[in-house]
Amino acid sequence: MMKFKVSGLVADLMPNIRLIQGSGHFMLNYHADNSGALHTLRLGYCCVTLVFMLLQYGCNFVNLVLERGDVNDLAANTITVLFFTHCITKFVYFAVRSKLFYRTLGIWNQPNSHPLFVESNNRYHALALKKMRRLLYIIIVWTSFSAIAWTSITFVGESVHTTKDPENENLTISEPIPRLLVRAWYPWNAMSGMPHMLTLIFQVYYVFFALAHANLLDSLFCSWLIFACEQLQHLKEIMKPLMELSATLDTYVPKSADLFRAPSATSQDNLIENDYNSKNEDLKGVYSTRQELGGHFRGAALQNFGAGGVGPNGLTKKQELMVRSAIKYWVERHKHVVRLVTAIGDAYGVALLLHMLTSTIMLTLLAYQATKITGVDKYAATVIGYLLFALAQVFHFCIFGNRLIEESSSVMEAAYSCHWYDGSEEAKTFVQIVCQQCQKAMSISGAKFFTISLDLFASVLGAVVTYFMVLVQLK
Amino acid sequence: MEKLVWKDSLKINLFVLRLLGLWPRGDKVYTFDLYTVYAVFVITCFLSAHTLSQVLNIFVVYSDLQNLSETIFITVTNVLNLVKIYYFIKNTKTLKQLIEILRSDMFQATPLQIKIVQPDLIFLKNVTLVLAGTVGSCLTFWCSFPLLDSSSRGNRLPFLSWYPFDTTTSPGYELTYLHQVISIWALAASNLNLDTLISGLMMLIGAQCDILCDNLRNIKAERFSQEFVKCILHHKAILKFSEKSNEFFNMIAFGQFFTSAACIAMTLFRLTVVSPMSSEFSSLTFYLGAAIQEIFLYCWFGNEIEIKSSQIGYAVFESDWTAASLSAQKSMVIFVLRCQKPIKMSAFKLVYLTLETYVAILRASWSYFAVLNKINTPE
Repeated sequence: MMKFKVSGLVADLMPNIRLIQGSGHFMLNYHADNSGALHTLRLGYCCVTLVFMLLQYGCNFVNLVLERGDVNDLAANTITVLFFTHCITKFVYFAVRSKLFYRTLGIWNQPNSHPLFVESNNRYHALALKKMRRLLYIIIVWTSFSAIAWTSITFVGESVHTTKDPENENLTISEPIPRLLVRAWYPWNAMSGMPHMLTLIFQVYYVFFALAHANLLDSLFCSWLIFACEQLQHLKEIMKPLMELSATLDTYVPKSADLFRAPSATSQDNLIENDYNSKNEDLKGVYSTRQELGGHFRGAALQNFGAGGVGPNGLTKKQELMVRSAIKYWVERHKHVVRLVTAIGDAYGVALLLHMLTSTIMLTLLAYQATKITGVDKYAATVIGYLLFALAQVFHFCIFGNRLIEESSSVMEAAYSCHWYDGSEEAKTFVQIVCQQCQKAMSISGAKFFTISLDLFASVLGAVVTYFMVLVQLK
Repeated sequence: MEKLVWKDSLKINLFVLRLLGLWPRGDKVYTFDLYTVYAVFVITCFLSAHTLSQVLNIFVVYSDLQNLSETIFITVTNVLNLVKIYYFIKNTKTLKQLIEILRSDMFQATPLQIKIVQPDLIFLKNVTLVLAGTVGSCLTFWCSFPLLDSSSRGNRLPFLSWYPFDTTTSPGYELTYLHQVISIWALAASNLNLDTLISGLMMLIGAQCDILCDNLRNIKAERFSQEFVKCILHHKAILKFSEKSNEFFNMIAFGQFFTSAACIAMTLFRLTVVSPMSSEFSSLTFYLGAAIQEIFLYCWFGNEIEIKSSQIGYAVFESDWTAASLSAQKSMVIFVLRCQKPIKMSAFKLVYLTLETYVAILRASWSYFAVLNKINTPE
């Protein structure tokens, strides 16, 4: 039996993966022991989960159809059905496209490395790990809290719904219905006693697992984005030492300190005294000429290396090769990050599109429901709860998508902010290529329909507010 | 070369802020001296106490829509004002550093260049005067309307606030009246000066971009590389300066945008409720004008920065670069690549200070007003 060893993203995201497997998603890889019996057992568990989810969803849907007479009930049931559509969609989506997920998880299995940048790489890797764990805890807490809140609110208030009075067509009476988390139709009578208890437990299981399905997949997506962002930070950080190293590759290093010597009498140029700002203690952190000209000063130090076999610029052959390999490492690592982001987009883009479609309809209906709020009661609490949960789900992936866009577009600024003008031709060419390549930010799109960013969240929020205001005016 | 030419444009602002206790002398932040005591006194007794009493009043009258709308819209502005003052004080050190940087040699200008940026300086001055005039008239009307309309309402205060003591009889009435007048003038003065100070900073960044463009156009061919490197350093300094300024007023701009649409909407709503030809009506009109102008200040100068910084790339081509060395031309390519991304001022990168945002805010406030009107009319 092959020894089970995990590396790369799979190792980092192991808690996520285990939770996803535990909740019944069709993730059948990443087990130490994948023999026939255990595999069939796990497959069976997933299928059973699928069957339960679909059954309950079907019962919800049947209830929707049965209660379509009353407008209020129709709206409320449609919202519930749409809410759980998210969860079923994500479940089925993962089962159908699990290959793409495995591919994305395996993309970082063999990253390149360079002795000069190992320390920085490890530091950002650790940072990414910390953030991914923190996100996972937050998601777990949030899901559990929502499930518990849902369960507890079931026991508040009356468990009734209004129907037409059988005697008088124009009146409505309230008829008791089973006290359950979700209104559904069952072929048995679930009003009280043992059937009620069992149905209640089944519904608690259903709600908790449905929420877990949706949220865990979203958090897997966001964890990938966190990892990509931290890699981009690593690349930005090593840009400066890379510049300084490559400045030693050419023979002529223009001394920019000479630019700031005292001018001739006819010159009208204004100059910064070399130590003007270092005299002013307060400004050290803000703007310092010394920092700007630092490359020149460091360059001199590096040129004193190597006594024997010295090249024209004071470096040995070995050091030259190391510098060239450092540039190669940067470029290869950047390409790797681009591959990762593309894979993430391929794996999860369609799921995001479906999510946004369902959310749009659901939020419209929620805006309508919100106009009927009369006071602080169970109805208001449920409507606001649904609203907050839906908006939080959209916010969850929008904020990480936005961070990716920002990080990738600031690589160019990082390249520009080091003293490339003091550098060699090779350094300038490298900076130019980097600037041109990083002009376009990397972003995740929902199957090319829209970009995942905070603009999307703002437009969703704006749309909800607009629908609400329009519906209030129509009342 | 006049070294203090930039700080002069902010001189009046800083003077008024010093009067209000918000600008410690010299290069220091608040130390344990008399000025700090004075500052604490002004801030707690006048600014905070007044706002607090208005906030408490909201809790007292929140069921009555009429009284509520009357209190809320001025309270929101005052609370926002306090928040702005808090963040201003918190970031005083950054601001002092920024003003110190303005004195550095990097940001100096030749007399010809000062002529180029003169229109912007004058524009800022004019806009400030107009805004100050609007705010002043608004406050005059507001503080005097109980005196002019007193026949119908008895002993009324200019602002509905809650006080723990009886304010309808003298001497309580006169003292509270005076306190309210002083507080509202102090609040309005601090608000006005904070906004114009921030706009002044943005205007100066725009002016620096113009100076850089002029420098780039006039690079002499024989010393191209050296002068170009100086321009690159100037550009980097401008970028750093604008980033630091943006950091400074991030929260202030965010709070401003967050509340401005609601504020304008409620003012419009109040205008439909109050009877015209009363002094309250005219004070509300001036208040509306002041609110609209306040947002305009931020958005206009932010927009100017974006436009001017995107012109820097073009300015390089107007220089005599064909005679420069290959190495310098390569540097030019990288420089132009960077300049294609203009400097955008924002509030936490969520809301950008541009004219599009301004239009969006005006539209939003109109729609909120329409909703409020609809809710109110059937009653």
